[in-house]
Amino acid sequence: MICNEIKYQLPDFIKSRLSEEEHRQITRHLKQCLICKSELASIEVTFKKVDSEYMAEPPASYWINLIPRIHNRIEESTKTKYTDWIIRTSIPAMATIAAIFLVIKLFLFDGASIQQRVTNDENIESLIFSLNENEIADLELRLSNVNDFNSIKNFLDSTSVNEDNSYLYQSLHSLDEKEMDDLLAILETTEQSN
Amino acid sequence: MSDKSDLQLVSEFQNGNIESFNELVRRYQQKVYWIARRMIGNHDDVDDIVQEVFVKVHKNLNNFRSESSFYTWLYRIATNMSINAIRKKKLVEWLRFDEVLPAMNLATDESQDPANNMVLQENRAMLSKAIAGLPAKQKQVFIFRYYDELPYEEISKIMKTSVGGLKANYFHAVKNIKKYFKDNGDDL
Repeated sequence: MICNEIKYQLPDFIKSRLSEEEHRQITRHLKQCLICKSELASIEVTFKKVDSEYMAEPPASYWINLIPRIHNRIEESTKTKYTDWIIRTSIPAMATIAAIFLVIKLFLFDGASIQQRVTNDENIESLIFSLNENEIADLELRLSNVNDFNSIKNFLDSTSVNEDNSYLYQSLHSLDEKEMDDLLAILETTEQSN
Repeated sequence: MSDKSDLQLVSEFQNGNIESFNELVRRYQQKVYWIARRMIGNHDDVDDIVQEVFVKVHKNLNNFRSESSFYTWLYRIATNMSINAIRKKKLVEWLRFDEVLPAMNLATDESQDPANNMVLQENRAMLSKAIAGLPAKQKQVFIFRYYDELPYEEISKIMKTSVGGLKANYFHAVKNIKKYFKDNGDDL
């Protein structure tokens, strides 16, 4: 055996924790190797120092009370776990519900109201009042070059429908000739008042 | 104390018998305490770790499979939690037994001679610091091998390290403890 293999076994050699064969081999090696012998002496002194160390024992009551204290802590950790779970799950859940509600309100309700406005606008005034400022401005711009029902219809037929103008397009299509005339009159009044 | 094996108790716990868990605690509480105590030193911190170790055992025992022995699993939890505690609190820096012990009011059989007491406490503090200052693996091996006298094969399972590596770690741990004493003015 080489010295490196021997030296790693010296702590166990001192504490007699080797097999008989290992013990015999090391004893034989130590008789002829001064370096390992010196290493052995050094470890022996260190062990004596470590053996002299004393750590105060906890009182007997510590062991008696340990199990109830562990169970208390288990209960606490279970409670904390549920509280954490509620906090962890409820906040994202509420946020998700709020987000869904917002999306529904923004898209579905507004979409529905647009449909409702288009189908239920029985007179042109209610249609005009249902338009917001941008929509009115857009309508004015679109109708600036037309001044009668047929030309409006032609204009609408030639206009491609997209997301931005679909409401106006549908609204205008739903108007009959009289309503269209009223619309033009109202727009003219609005333009003048502005 | 019950003569049932650890695995029998684990199995009983998994079938709803909480008393089996208590028996496992009674069986291993001192082992866990001394592993943590030798790694950390301070009784109050150790007490906290011991409780946390068994809380963790209780939480995970239902998932324990008998692929390793119960105590291998338990010791791994205890050493990992102790190492984490040391890392977190940097206990090494303020480990002072001579300040902590009187407050703990622990039973001691030390001499009533104040001078002798002082020497004992200094030695104890120095050794504790020497052990606490070892690299994590050396510290674990030293405690398992020197104090608990565990076979290398068992330590190997706990630490997931080869037996050859453990022997080298143990040797270097002893050398480092000696060096600590020497560096701090103790003639060895």
